[in-house]
Amino acid sequence: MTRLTKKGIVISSLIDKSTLALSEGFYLEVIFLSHVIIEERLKSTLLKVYKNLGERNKIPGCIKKIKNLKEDKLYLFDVYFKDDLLKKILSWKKQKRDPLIHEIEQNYDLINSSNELESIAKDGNKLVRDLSTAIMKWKRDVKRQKLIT
Amino acid sequence: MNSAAIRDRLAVSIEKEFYFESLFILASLLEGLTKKYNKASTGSNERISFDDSIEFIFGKNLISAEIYTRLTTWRNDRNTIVHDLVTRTIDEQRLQAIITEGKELLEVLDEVLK
Repeated sequence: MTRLTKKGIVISSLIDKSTLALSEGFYLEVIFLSHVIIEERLKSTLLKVYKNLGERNKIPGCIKKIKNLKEDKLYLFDVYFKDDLLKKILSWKKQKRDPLIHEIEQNYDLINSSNELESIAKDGNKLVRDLSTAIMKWKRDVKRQKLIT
Repeated sequence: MNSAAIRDRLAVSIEKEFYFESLFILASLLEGLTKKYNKASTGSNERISFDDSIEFIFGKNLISAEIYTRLTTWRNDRNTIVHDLVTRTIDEQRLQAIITEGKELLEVLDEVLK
C-alpha cells in the first residue's frame, strides 16, 4: 500500500530504520522507535474522531481515550481495538521501555543481556505491526460506513 | 554491564549512525546522573523527574546558568524527538547536533557530579 502523506512517508522511513536496527542488533534504537511510532499512530487515530485532542496525550492518555470510545461503542473502536492489544502496549511501555530510559543504572544487567533486550525490541516491533494492522482495518471500515470523513 | 560499557555502546551507536539508540543512552545517562546525585544528597527514594533533578543540581550551584539552560534545552529537544518526531521535521544533521550536545553535557556532569 502506497503512503502518500508526508507523515506516512516519515513513519515508513522510521519503520525501515527500526527493521535495520533490529537486524544489526541495535535494540535500544528499535525500542525507541517503536515507542515513537506507537504513540504517533494512536494520536493520529484519535485525531480522526476528536477535533481537539490536545497536545499532552501520550500513550497512556491515548489508550484511556480509546477505552472510553470502546465502552461507548463509538466509531467501531470496540470492534477493532482489542483489549489484549491495548493492555500489551501499556504493559510494554510501562514495564519494559520506561524503566530502561528512566533508570538505566538499575538496568545495566538487562542492557548487557542482549537476549532480553532483543526480546523487548521484538515485542515493540510486533506491537507496531499489530497496531498498524488494527488501525488499517478500522480506518477502512469506519470510512466505508461514513462514520468519519 | 557497567557505566563504561554503556558508554562504549553509545560510541558504537554513533559510529554506526543509529542515532536514536545514541539519544536513548544519552538521555538515560544524563537523567541517571542527576537523579543519583539528588537521591544521594537527600537520602530520599521518592521518584523525581529529570526536570526536578536538573533544578536540584542548579539549586546546589553545581552547574552554571549556562549549563542549566543547555540541559533544559537538551531535555526539551529530546522530548520533542520522543513525542513529536513524526510531525516536526528533525533531519539527521539536527539529530547529530543534539547527540553532540548531549555528549558535551555528559562530560560536564561527569566532572561536577563525580
